Amino acid sequence: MIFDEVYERFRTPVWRLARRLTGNDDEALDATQEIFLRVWRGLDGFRGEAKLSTWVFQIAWNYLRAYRRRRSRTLVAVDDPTGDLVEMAPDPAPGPERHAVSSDLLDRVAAAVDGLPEHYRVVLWLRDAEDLSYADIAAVLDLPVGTVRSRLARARAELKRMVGV
Amino acid sequence: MDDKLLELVSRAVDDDLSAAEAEELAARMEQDPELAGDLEDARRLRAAVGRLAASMAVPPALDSVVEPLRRSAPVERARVRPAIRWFGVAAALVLGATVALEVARHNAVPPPKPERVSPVHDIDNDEVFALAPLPTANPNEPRPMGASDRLLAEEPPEPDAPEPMPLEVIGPLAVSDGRQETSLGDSGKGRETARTTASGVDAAAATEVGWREQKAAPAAADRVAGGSPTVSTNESSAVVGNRRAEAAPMRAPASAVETAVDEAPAGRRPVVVLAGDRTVWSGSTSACIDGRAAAVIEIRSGMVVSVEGVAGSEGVCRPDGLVGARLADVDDGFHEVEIIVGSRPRK
Repeated sequence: MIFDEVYERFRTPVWRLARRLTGNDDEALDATQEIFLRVWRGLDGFRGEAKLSTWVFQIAWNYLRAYRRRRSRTLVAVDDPTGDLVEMAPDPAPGPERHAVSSDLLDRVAAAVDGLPEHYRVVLWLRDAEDLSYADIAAVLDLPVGTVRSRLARARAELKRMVGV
Repeated sequence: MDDKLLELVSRAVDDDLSAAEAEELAARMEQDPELAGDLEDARRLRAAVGRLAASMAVPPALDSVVEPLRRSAPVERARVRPAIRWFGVAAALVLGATVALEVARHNAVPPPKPERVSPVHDIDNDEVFALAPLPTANPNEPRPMGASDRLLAEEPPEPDAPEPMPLEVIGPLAVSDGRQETSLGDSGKGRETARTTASGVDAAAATEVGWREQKAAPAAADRVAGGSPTVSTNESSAVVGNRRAEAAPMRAPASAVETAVDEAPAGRRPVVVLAGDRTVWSGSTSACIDGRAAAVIEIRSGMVVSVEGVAGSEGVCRPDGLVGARLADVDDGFHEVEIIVGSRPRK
């Protein structure tokens, strides 16, 4: 497998996932670079036992989860001396989608997605944005398929509530 | 809406329902018309999320930061790394095989020893073997003789006779009242031995001093064994211990001398030198004939330096060893003596 092909195929999905999970473009850019560095390092070890998409999203999810944990600890240390976990607020600045599609619904959907809890957000995004199957999502997140189904149902219900449709 | 119905609606959006689940959902939607609206809203939201994702353009900066990775094609690494990996594996195998061979060579297993085969005896199975009783089973029976028993039964060997202690001869010849006596200085034992000799016991065997001198000076011992009355000549300077003792002239009393005079070695004649009625020297000679002759001896530092015949005599006998002999208790100067060769009549 040639890295260039992998990059061309997954650069946008990885970027989007990073953008949705980090909440802003700069962190998403750094995260995407780190994710593809790991893909580049691990490409020799990829033997095709799993789908390539599953493998790449696994790398992305593992990195983004660790990244958010590190940032959460930093935020707690700086902004929350009580030690309580602080849910990262989404970037109030409009994302790139704002410029592409000027739609009130999309704005509200974007804000609602970014406002979802992380374990709902990643399932919803991998399913509705990247169109992964339940089984692939379960493999990426290392969860049972049933858990993926239930989490997806709750995420969609929460998204509907947040969007207000 | 309960969780089960919520999941049915969500799965209906993804067309993940089985036929039975689809029928169940349809039945519930007939009962609840709002449920159909919820399903429709879920489908619209899903499409909105899809559109949101499609609207997200990748920033150009991403390509620039990932460009270095794209230039370093992993294909080359894929071509090189397996080769290196296989080379490493091959090297490890060769090294391991070499080590194993060396270890096997050094720890070569010796050839198996031939299996011991018990000799086959033609024994009647009905034969009964009785074990002999142990030697200690019956204390009344004699024990078999062993090496230790034989050693214990043997008579212990006689211990070696202790070697006599050496005695030092340090005293001069003592002369008292004209009677000849051997002086051994302060050694009472030696004096005692000398007296024993004077009483008629064999002089050669009786005195420890004589025994010592016999070992120290064989020539003098020979004379003693041959009947020489004394051993205290210059030749018989005894070696006692590790030092050479200046043996004083030792003379036996006249009776002993007379006994020993007759016992000169074969071919030699006994000789005594008398000063007055005492013997001051004794020896043997092969040059003189029997008889008596008056002579004058010159003594210097206690040693005979010359023997001359007196005026009017026909000659003088000079027995071997007289010149040079030390005559203790005789003053230096010229002394008239009588030299007697051959046996003398006993008094």
